[in-house]
Amino acid sequence: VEDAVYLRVDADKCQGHARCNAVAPEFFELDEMGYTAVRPGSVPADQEDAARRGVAACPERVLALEESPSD
Amino acid sequence: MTTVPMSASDTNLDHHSAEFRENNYDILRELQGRCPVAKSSAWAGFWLFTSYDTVFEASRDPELFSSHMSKGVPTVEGQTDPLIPIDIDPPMLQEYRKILLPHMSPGAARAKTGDLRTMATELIDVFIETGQADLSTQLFTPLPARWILQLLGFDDSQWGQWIEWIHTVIHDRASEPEKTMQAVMELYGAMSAEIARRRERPTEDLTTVLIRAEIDGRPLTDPELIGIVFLLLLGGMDTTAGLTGNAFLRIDADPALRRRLVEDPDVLDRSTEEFLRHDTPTQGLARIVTRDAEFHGRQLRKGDRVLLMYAAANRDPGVFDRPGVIDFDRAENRHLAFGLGLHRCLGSNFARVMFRVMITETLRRMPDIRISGQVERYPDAGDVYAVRNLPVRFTPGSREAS
Repeated sequence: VEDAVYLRVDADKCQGHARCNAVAPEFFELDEMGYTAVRPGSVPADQEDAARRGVAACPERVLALEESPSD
Repeated sequence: MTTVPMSASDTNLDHHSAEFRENNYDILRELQGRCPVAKSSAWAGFWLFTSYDTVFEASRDPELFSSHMSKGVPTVEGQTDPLIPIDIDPPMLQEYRKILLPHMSPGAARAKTGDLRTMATELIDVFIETGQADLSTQLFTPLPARWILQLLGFDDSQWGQWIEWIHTVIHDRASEPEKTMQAVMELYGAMSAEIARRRERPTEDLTTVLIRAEIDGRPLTDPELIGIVFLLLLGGMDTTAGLTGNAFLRIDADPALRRRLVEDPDVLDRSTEEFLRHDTPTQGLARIVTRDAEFHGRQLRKGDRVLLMYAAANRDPGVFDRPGVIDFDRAENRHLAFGLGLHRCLGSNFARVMFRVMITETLRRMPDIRISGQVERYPDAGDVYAVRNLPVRFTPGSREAS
Protein backbone atom coordinates (compact mmCIF):
# COMPACT_ATOMS: atom_id res chain seq x y z
CA VAL A 1 0.00 0.00 0.00
CA GLU A 2 1.34 3.41 -0.92
CA ASP A 3 2.36 5.67 1.97
CA ALA A 4 1.43 3.07 4.58
CA VAL A 5 3.16 3.41 7.92
CA TYR A 6 4.05 0.61 10.27
CA LEU A 7 4.14 0.66 14.04
CA ARG A 8 7.11 -0.92 15.76
CA VAL A 9 6.60 -1.95 19.39
CA ASP A 10 9.54 -2.93 21.57
CA ALA A 11 7.10 -4.54 23.98
CA ASP A 12 9.63 -5.99 26.40
CA LYS A 13 10.98 -2.50 27.08
CA CYS A 14 7.53 -1.02 27.85
CA GLN A 15 7.48 0.02 31.52
CA GLY A 16 3.86 1.03 31.81
CA HIS A 17 4.15 4.82 31.77
CA ALA A 18 0.85 4.64 29.86
CA ARG A 19 1.46 7.93 28.10
CA CYS A 20 0.49 6.46 24.71
CA ASN A 21 -2.89 5.57 26.14
CA ALA A 22 -3.25 8.99 27.76
CA VAL A 23 -2.72 10.94 24.53
CA ALA A 24 -4.40 8.51 22.11
CA PRO A 25 -6.67 6.08 23.97
CA GLU A 26 -8.52 5.24 20.74
CA PHE A 27 -5.41 3.57 19.37
CA PHE A 28 -3.28 2.50 22.34
CA GLU A 29 -5.02 0.12 24.70
CA LEU A 30 -3.43 -1.14 27.89
CA ASP A 31 -3.37 -4.56 29.53
CA GLU A 32 -4.42 -5.08 33.15
CA MET A 33 -0.90 -4.28 34.37
CA GLY A 34 -0.89 -0.96 32.54
CA TYR A 35 1.50 -2.00 29.76
CA THR A 36 0.75 -1.08 26.17
CA ALA A 37 -1.35 -3.75 24.45
CA VAL A 38 -1.00 -2.33 20.95
CA ARG A 39 0.20 -4.73 18.26
CA PRO A 40 2.97 -3.91 15.82
CA GLY A 41 2.01 -3.69 12.17
CA SER A 42 0.49 -1.42 9.58
CA VAL A 43 -1.45 1.57 10.87
CA PRO A 44 -4.79 2.39 9.19
CA ALA A 45 -4.64 5.80 7.51
CA ASP A 46 -7.35 7.24 9.75
CA GLN A 47 -5.41 6.18 12.86
CA GLU A 48 -2.08 7.58 11.80
CA ASP A 49 -2.40 10.81 13.74
CA ALA A 50 -3.29 8.96 16.94
CA ALA A 51 -0.36 6.61 16.42
CA ARG A 52 2.01 9.55 15.95
CA ARG A 53 0.84 11.19 19.16
CA GLY A 54 1.38 7.98 21.11
CA VAL A 55 4.84 7.41 19.66
CA ALA A 56 5.88 10.96 20.52
CA ALA A 57 4.68 10.55 24.12
CA CYS A 58 6.60 7.40 25.01
CA PRO A 59 9.42 8.26 27.44
CA GLU A 60 11.02 4.84 26.97
CA ARG A 61 11.04 5.24 23.16
CA VAL A 62 9.69 1.74 22.64
CA LEU A 63 7.24 2.85 19.93
CA ALA A 64 8.20 3.98 16.46
CA LEU A 65 6.58 4.55 13.09
CA GLU A 66 8.41 3.19 10.08
CA GLU A 67 8.07 3.25 6.32
CA SER A 68 8.26 -0.51 6.00
CA PRO A 69 7.34 -3.38 8.31
CA SER A 70 10.07 -4.57 10.65
CA ASP A 71 10.93 -8.27 10.36
CA MET B 1 36.77 14.40 27.10
CA THR B 2 39.78 12.88 28.84
CA THR B 3 39.42 10.42 31.68
CA VAL B 4 39.73 12.16 35.02
CA PRO B 5 41.22 10.29 37.98
CA MET B 6 38.93 9.39 40.88
CA SER B 7 40.58 11.75 43.33
CA ALA B 8 39.60 14.85 41.37
CA SER B 9 36.26 16.43 42.16
CA ASP B 10 34.24 18.58 39.81
CA THR B 11 32.07 20.11 42.50
CA ASN B 12 31.41 20.07 46.24
CA LEU B 13 27.65 20.02 45.66
CA ASP B 14 25.65 18.65 48.59
CA HIS B 15 22.09 18.06 47.42
CA HIS B 16 20.89 18.01 51.04
CA SER B 17 22.18 21.53 51.72
CA ALA B 18 20.22 24.75 52.17
CA GLU B 19 22.14 26.20 49.23
CA PHE B 20 20.82 23.46 46.95
CA ARG B 21 17.26 23.93 48.22
CA GLU B 22 17.36 27.65 47.51
CA ASN B 23 19.21 27.51 44.17
CA ASN B 24 18.66 23.96 42.91
CA TYR B 25 17.84 24.79 39.31
CA ASP B 26 20.66 27.33 38.91
CA ILE B 27 23.14 24.88 40.43
CA LEU B 28 21.95 21.98 38.27
CA ARG B 29 21.98 24.08 35.08
CA GLU B 30 25.55 25.23 35.72
CA LEU B 31 26.72 21.68 36.44
CA GLN B 32 24.87 20.25 33.43
CA GLY B 33 26.49 22.79 31.11
CA ARG B 34 29.97 22.33 32.53
CA CYS B 35 30.12 18.66 33.43
CA PRO B 36 27.06 16.40 32.93
CA VAL B 37 28.85 13.48 34.60
CA ALA B 38 30.29 15.16 37.69
CA LYS B 39 32.06 13.93 40.78
CA SER B 40 31.09 15.68 44.00
CA SER B 41 33.36 15.70 47.04
CA ALA B 42 30.38 15.79 49.41
CA TRP B 43 29.19 12.71 51.33
CA ALA B 44 32.55 10.91 50.85
CA GLY B 45 32.21 11.27 47.10
CA PHE B 46 29.45 10.50 44.63
CA TRP B 47 28.58 11.14 40.99
CA LEU B 48 25.85 13.41 39.68
CA PHE B 49 24.42 12.70 36.23
CA THR B 50 22.57 15.79 35.05
CA SER B 51 22.03 15.55 31.27
CA TYR B 52 18.99 13.86 29.76
CA ASP B 53 20.99 11.24 27.85
CA THR B 54 23.16 10.19 30.81
CA VAL B 55 20.13 9.81 33.09
CA PHE B 56 18.27 7.99 30.29
CA GLU B 57 21.11 5.54 29.66
CA ALA B 58 21.90 4.84 33.31
CA SER B 59 18.22 4.31 34.15
CA ARG B 60 18.00 1.67 31.46
CA ASP B 61 21.18 -0.17 32.47
CA PRO B 62 20.43 -1.84 35.82
CA GLU B 63 23.27 -4.27 35.22
CA LEU B 64 25.88 -1.50 35.54
CA PHE B 65 23.80 0.81 37.77
CA SER B 66 22.39 -1.30 40.60
CA SER B 67 19.60 -0.27 42.96
CA HIS B 68 21.02 -2.16 45.95
CA MET B 69 20.09 -0.42 49.22
CA SER B 70 23.70 0.60 49.83
CA LYS B 71 23.27 3.19 47.03
CA GLY B 72 21.91 5.94 49.32
CA VAL B 73 23.74 9.28 49.63
CA PRO B 74 23.57 8.83 52.57
CA THR B 75 21.72 5.63 53.47
CA VAL B 76 18.77 5.76 55.90
CA GLU B 77 19.78 5.20 59.56
CA GLY B 78 17.99 2.24 61.10
CA GLN B 79 16.80 0.77 57.82
CA THR B 80 17.72 -2.92 58.03
CA ASP B 81 15.96 -4.36 55.01
CA PRO B 82 15.55 -3.16 51.45
CA LEU B 83 12.64 -1.01 50.40
CA ILE B 84 10.78 -3.06 47.82
CA PRO B 85 11.01 -2.79 44.89
CA ILE B 86 13.09 0.44 44.74
CA ASP B 87 16.15 -1.23 46.36
CA ILE B 88 15.85 -4.42 44.29
CA ASP B 89 17.59 -5.42 41.05
CA PRO B 90 16.32 -7.74 38.30
CA PRO B 91 15.13 -10.45 38.18
CA MET B 92 13.36 -10.22 41.58
CA LEU B 93 12.41 -6.61 40.83
CA GLN B 94 9.93 -7.64 38.13
CA GLU B 95 8.45 -10.36 40.37
CA TYR B 96 7.59 -7.84 43.09
CA ARG B 97 6.27 -5.31 40.59
CA LYS B 98 3.93 -7.91 39.08
CA ILE B 99 2.10 -8.10 42.40
CA LEU B 100 1.64 -4.34 42.64
CA LEU B 101 1.07 -3.27 39.02
CA PRO B 102 -2.61 -4.23 38.64
CA HIS B 103 -3.41 -2.16 41.75
CA MET B 104 -1.54 0.89 40.47
CA SER B 105 -2.59 0.90 36.79
CA PRO B 106 -4.27 3.78 34.96
CA GLY B 107 -7.55 1.87 35.28
CA ALA B 108 -7.14 1.44 39.03
CA ALA B 109 -6.38 5.15 39.39
CA ARG B 110 -9.34 6.13 37.23
CA ALA B 111 -11.66 3.95 39.32
CA LYS B 112 -10.61 5.85 42.44
CA THR B 113 -11.08 9.34 40.96
CA GLY B 114 -14.55 9.84 42.44
CA ASP B 115 -13.38 8.92 45.93
CA LEU B 116 -10.41 11.25 45.61
CA ARG B 117 -12.69 14.08 44.51
CA THR B 118 -14.92 13.46 47.52
CA MET B 119 -11.87 13.53 49.76
CA ALA B 120 -10.81 16.86 48.25
CA THR B 121 -14.32 18.23 48.77
CA GLU B 122 -14.24 17.29 52.45
CA LEU B 123 -10.77 18.67 53.02
CA ILE B 124 -11.64 21.99 51.32
CA ASP B 125 -14.97 22.16 53.22
CA VAL B 126 -13.01 22.44 56.47
CA PHE B 127 -11.63 25.87 55.50
CA ILE B 128 -13.74 27.14 52.58
CA GLU B 129 -15.92 29.38 54.78
CA THR B 130 -12.98 31.08 56.47
CA GLY B 131 -11.31 32.59 53.41
CA GLN B 132 -7.88 31.39 54.45
CA ALA B 133 -5.93 28.16 54.71
CA ASP B 134 -2.57 26.47 54.55
CA LEU B 135 -3.01 24.60 51.28
CA SER B 136 0.00 22.41 51.98
CA THR B 137 -0.97 21.12 55.41
CA GLN B 138 -4.74 21.18 54.80
CA LEU B 139 -5.05 19.75 51.29
CA PHE B 140 -1.91 18.84 49.30
CA THR B 141 -0.36 16.83 52.16
CA PRO B 142 -3.38 15.03 53.68
CA LEU B 143 -5.02 13.91 50.42
CA PRO B 144 -2.19 11.71 49.10
CA ALA B 145 -1.44 10.54 52.66
CA ARG B 146 -5.02 9.46 53.29
CA TRP B 147 -5.20 7.84 49.83
CA ILE B 148 -2.22 5.54 50.43
CA LEU B 149 -3.43 4.66 53.94
CA GLN B 150 -6.87 3.79 52.52
CA LEU B 151 -5.29 1.70 49.78
CA LEU B 152 -3.35 -0.23 52.41
CA GLY B 153 -6.44 -0.48 54.60
CA PHE B 154 -4.88 1.49 57.47
CA ASP B 155 -6.87 3.95 59.59
CA ASP B 156 -6.54 7.10 57.49
CA SER B 157 -7.71 9.36 60.32
CA GLN B 158 -4.21 8.75 61.75
CA TRP B 159 -2.54 10.31 58.69
CA GLY B 160 -0.89 13.01 60.83
CA GLN B 161 1.20 10.48 62.76
CA TRP B 162 2.17 8.53 59.66
CA ILE B 163 3.17 11.64 57.76
CA GLU B 164 5.32 12.87 60.65
CA TRP B 165 7.34 9.65 60.53
CA ILE B 166 7.58 9.70 56.74
CA HIS B 167 8.62 13.35 56.60
CA THR B 168 11.35 12.62 59.14
CA VAL B 169 12.71 9.77 57.02
CA ILE B 170 12.68 11.88 53.86
CA HIS B 171 13.59 15.34 55.04
CA ASP B 172 15.65 14.80 58.22
CA ARG B 173 17.64 11.70 57.29
CA ALA B 174 20.75 13.59 56.24
CA SER B 175 20.77 16.10 59.11
CA GLU B 176 19.31 14.15 62.03
CA PRO B 177 20.26 10.46 61.83
CA GLU B 178 19.15 9.67 65.40
CA LYS B 179 15.73 11.21 64.97
CA THR B 180 15.44 9.32 61.68
CA MET B 181 16.37 6.02 63.32
CA GLN B 182 13.71 6.58 65.98
CA ALA B 183 11.08 7.30 63.29
CA VAL B 184 12.10 4.22 61.33
CA MET B 185 11.78 2.05 64.46
CA GLU B 186 8.33 3.40 65.18
CA LEU B 187 7.31 2.91 61.56
CA TYR B 188 8.52 -0.69 61.62
CA GLY B 189 6.43 -1.25 64.76
CA ALA B 190 3.29 0.33 63.34
CA MET B 191 3.60 -1.49 60.01
CA SER B 192 4.21 -4.84 61.73
CA ALA B 193 1.10 -4.34 63.84
CA GLU B 194 -1.02 -3.59 60.75
CA ILE B 195 0.33 -6.65 58.94
CA ALA B 196 -0.33 -8.86 61.98
CA ARG B 197 -3.90 -7.54 62.20
CA ARG B 198 -4.48 -8.38 58.53
CA ARG B 199 -3.08 -11.88 58.94
CA GLU B 200 -5.62 -12.49 61.68
CA ARG B 201 -8.50 -10.81 59.91
CA PRO B 202 -8.06 -10.55 56.13
CA THR B 203 -9.88 -7.73 54.35
CA GLU B 204 -10.05 -6.41 50.80
CA ASP B 205 -7.16 -3.97 51.03
CA LEU B 206 -3.73 -3.98 49.40
CA THR B 207 -2.07 -5.17 52.63
CA THR B 208 -4.19 -8.33 52.45
CA VAL B 209 -3.38 -8.72 48.75
CA LEU B 210 0.32 -8.61 49.65
CA ILE B 211 -0.09 -11.16 52.46
CA ARG B 212 -1.84 -13.53 50.03
CA ALA B 213 0.63 -12.92 47.20
CA GLU B 214 3.21 -15.49 46.20
CA ILE B 215 6.64 -15.07 44.75
CA ASP B 216 8.47 -18.13 43.40
CA GLY B 217 5.65 -20.25 44.83
CA ARG B 218 6.05 -18.99 48.41
CA PRO B 219 4.34 -16.24 50.41
CA LEU B 220 6.16 -12.98 51.09
CA THR B 221 8.17 -12.85 54.33
CA ASP B 222 7.54 -10.20 56.98
CA PRO B 223 10.65 -8.18 56.01
CA GLU B 224 9.43 -8.27 52.39
CA LEU B 225 5.93 -7.14 53.35
CA ILE B 226 7.36 -4.31 55.45
CA GLY B 227 9.75 -3.35 52.65
CA ILE B 228 6.82 -2.97 50.25
CA VAL B 229 4.50 -1.17 52.67
CA PHE B 230 7.28 1.20 53.76
CA LEU B 231 8.01 2.16 50.16
CA LEU B 232 4.32 2.67 49.37
CA LEU B 233 4.09 5.06 52.33
CA LEU B 234 7.28 6.90 51.35
CA GLY B 235 6.34 7.19 47.71
CA GLY B 236 2.70 7.86 48.31
CA MET B 237 2.85 10.49 50.99
CA ASP B 238 5.36 13.09 50.00
CA THR B 239 6.01 13.28 46.28
CA THR B 240 2.52 14.13 45.03
CA ALA B 241 2.16 16.76 47.73
CA GLY B 242 5.51 18.17 46.61
CA LEU B 243 4.49 18.32 42.96
CA THR B 244 1.18 19.99 43.73
CA GLY B 245 2.74 22.60 46.01
CA ASN B 246 5.50 23.36 43.49
CA ALA B 247 2.94 23.70 40.70
CA PHE B 248 0.70 25.94 42.78
CA LEU B 249 3.59 28.38 43.27
CA ARG B 250 3.85 28.68 39.47
CA ILE B 251 0.11 29.09 39.04
CA ASP B 252 0.06 31.78 41.71
CA ALA B 253 2.88 33.65 39.98
CA ASP B 254 1.38 33.53 36.47
CA PRO B 255 -2.19 34.75 35.84
CA ALA B 256 -2.13 33.39 32.28
CA LEU B 257 -1.41 29.87 33.50
CA ARG B 258 -4.22 30.12 36.03
CA ARG B 259 -6.66 31.39 33.43
CA ARG B 260 -5.80 28.60 31.02
CA LEU B 261 -6.25 25.94 33.71
CA VAL B 262 -9.60 27.38 34.78
CA GLU B 263 -10.97 27.90 31.29
CA ASP B 264 -9.63 24.93 29.33
CA PRO B 265 -10.20 21.54 30.97
CA ASP B 266 -8.65 19.84 27.93
CA VAL B 267 -5.27 21.20 28.90
CA LEU B 268 -5.19 19.19 32.13
CA ASP B 269 -3.28 16.18 30.84
CA ARG B 270 -0.64 18.27 29.08
CA SER B 271 -0.32 20.69 31.98
CA THR B 272 0.17 17.81 34.42
CA GLU B 273 3.08 16.55 32.34
CA GLU B 274 4.54 20.03 32.05
CA PHE B 275 4.40 20.62 35.80
CA LEU B 276 5.97 17.20 36.33
CA ARG B 277 8.80 18.21 34.01
CA HIS B 278 9.31 21.75 35.25
CA ASP B 279 8.61 21.22 38.96
CA THR B 280 9.81 17.65 39.49
CA PRO B 281 9.45 16.76 43.18
CA THR B 282 11.88 13.81 43.21
CA GLN B 283 14.99 15.69 42.18
CA GLY B 284 17.07 12.55 41.82
CA LEU B 285 17.51 8.94 42.87
CA ALA B 286 20.64 6.92 43.54
CA ARG B 287 22.34 3.94 41.95
CA ILE B 288 25.52 2.03 42.81
CA VAL B 289 28.06 1.06 40.16
CA THR B 290 28.57 -2.71 39.86
CA ARG B 291 31.95 -2.79 38.05
CA ASP B 292 34.68 -0.51 36.78
CA ALA B 293 33.44 1.08 33.59
CA GLU B 294 33.86 4.14 31.43
CA PHE B 295 30.73 6.24 31.08
CA HIS B 296 30.58 9.33 28.87
CA GLY B 297 34.33 9.76 29.13
CA ARG B 298 34.55 9.33 32.90
CA GLN B 299 36.01 6.39 34.77
CA LEU B 300 33.46 4.89 37.16
CA ARG B 301 34.65 2.43 39.82
CA LYS B 302 32.82 -0.50 41.32
CA GLY B 303 30.99 0.74 44.43
CA ASP B 304 30.73 4.37 43.29
CA ARG B 305 27.40 5.95 44.10
CA VAL B 306 25.53 7.90 41.46
CA LEU B 307 22.63 10.32 41.66
CA LEU B 308 20.43 10.36 38.56
CA MET B 309 19.20 13.94 38.62
CA TYR B 310 15.74 13.82 37.02
CA ALA B 311 15.16 17.49 37.80
CA ALA B 312 18.21 18.44 35.76
CA ALA B 313 17.46 16.06 32.88
CA ASN B 314 13.95 17.51 32.70
CA ARG B 315 15.45 20.93 31.95
CA ASP B 316 18.11 19.79 29.50
CA PRO B 317 18.13 22.46 26.76
CA GLY B 318 19.30 19.83 24.27
CA VAL B 319 15.96 18.04 24.66
CA PHE B 320 13.49 20.68 25.82
CA ASP B 321 13.23 24.00 24.03
CA ARG B 322 13.27 26.88 26.57
CA PRO B 323 13.35 24.37 29.44
CA GLY B 324 12.78 26.94 32.18
CA VAL B 325 9.47 28.04 30.68
CA ILE B 326 6.17 26.34 31.47
CA ASP B 327 4.59 25.59 28.10
CA PHE B 328 1.49 23.39 28.06
CA ASP B 329 1.75 23.13 24.27
CA ARG B 330 5.10 21.38 23.95
CA ALA B 331 4.98 19.00 20.99
CA GLU B 332 6.96 16.40 22.92
CA ASN B 333 7.35 16.10 26.66
CA ARG B 334 9.11 12.85 27.51
CA HIS B 335 10.16 14.01 30.95
CA LEU B 336 11.79 11.74 33.51
CA ALA B 337 9.89 12.85 36.61
CA PHE B 338 8.80 9.27 37.29
CA GLY B 339 12.16 7.81 36.36
CA LEU B 340 12.65 5.42 33.51
CA GLY B 341 13.31 1.76 32.87
CA LEU B 342 12.44 -1.09 35.20
CA HIS B 343 12.06 1.19 38.25
CA ARG B 344 9.46 3.51 36.70
CA CYS B 345 7.45 5.01 39.59
CA LEU B 346 4.64 2.60 40.44
CA GLY B 347 2.47 5.41 41.77
CA SER B 348 2.67 7.56 38.64
CA ASN B 349 -0.91 6.93 37.55
CA PHE B 350 -2.36 7.75 40.96
CA ALA B 351 -0.05 10.75 41.29
CA ARG B 352 -1.42 12.22 38.07
CA VAL B 353 -5.03 11.73 39.13
CA MET B 354 -4.47 13.17 42.61
CA PHE B 355 -2.59 16.15 41.21
CA ARG B 356 -5.42 16.93 38.79
CA VAL B 357 -8.11 16.54 41.43
CA MET B 358 -6.32 18.83 43.89
CA ILE B 359 -5.49 21.54 41.35
CA THR B 360 -8.90 21.56 39.67
CA GLU B 361 -10.86 21.52 42.93
CA THR B 362 -8.68 24.29 44.35
CA LEU B 363 -9.21 26.54 41.32
CA ARG B 364 -12.90 25.64 40.94
CA ARG B 365 -13.84 26.43 44.52
CA MET B 366 -11.36 29.25 45.18
CA PRO B 367 -10.91 30.94 41.78
CA ASP B 368 -9.31 34.07 43.29
CA ILE B 369 -6.97 32.16 45.62
CA ARG B 370 -3.62 33.87 46.25
CA ILE B 371 -0.59 33.13 48.37
CA SER B 372 -0.87 35.41 51.40
CA GLY B 373 2.29 34.88 53.45
CA GLN B 374 5.66 33.27 53.78
CA VAL B 375 5.99 30.04 51.79
CA GLU B 376 8.26 27.60 53.58
CA ARG B 377 9.99 24.64 51.98
CA TYR B 378 11.20 21.50 53.71
CA PRO B 379 14.82 22.23 54.64
CA ASP B 380 16.18 19.23 52.74
CA ALA B 381 15.27 19.11 49.05
CA GLY B 382 17.82 16.42 48.21
CA ASP B 383 15.24 13.67 47.94
CA VAL B 384 11.95 15.50 47.55
CA TYR B 385 11.70 19.17 46.64
CA ALA B 386 8.52 20.18 48.41
CA VAL B 387 6.61 22.98 50.08
CA ARG B 388 5.88 22.64 53.80
CA ASN B 389 3.69 25.69 54.37
CA LEU B 390 1.56 27.43 51.78
CA PRO B 391 -0.62 30.15 53.35
CA VAL B 392 -3.42 31.37 51.08
CA ARG B 393 -6.40 33.74 51.10
CA PHE B 394 -9.52 33.66 48.94
CA THR B 395 -13.13 34.80 48.88
CA PRO B 396 -14.99 32.49 51.31
CA GLY B 397 -17.28 29.91 49.73
CA SER B 398 -19.83 27.32 50.81
CA ARG B 399 -19.36 23.79 52.01
CA GLU B 400 -20.30 21.14 49.44
CA ALA B 401 -20.22 17.74 51.14
CA SER B 402 -23.66 16.33 51.88
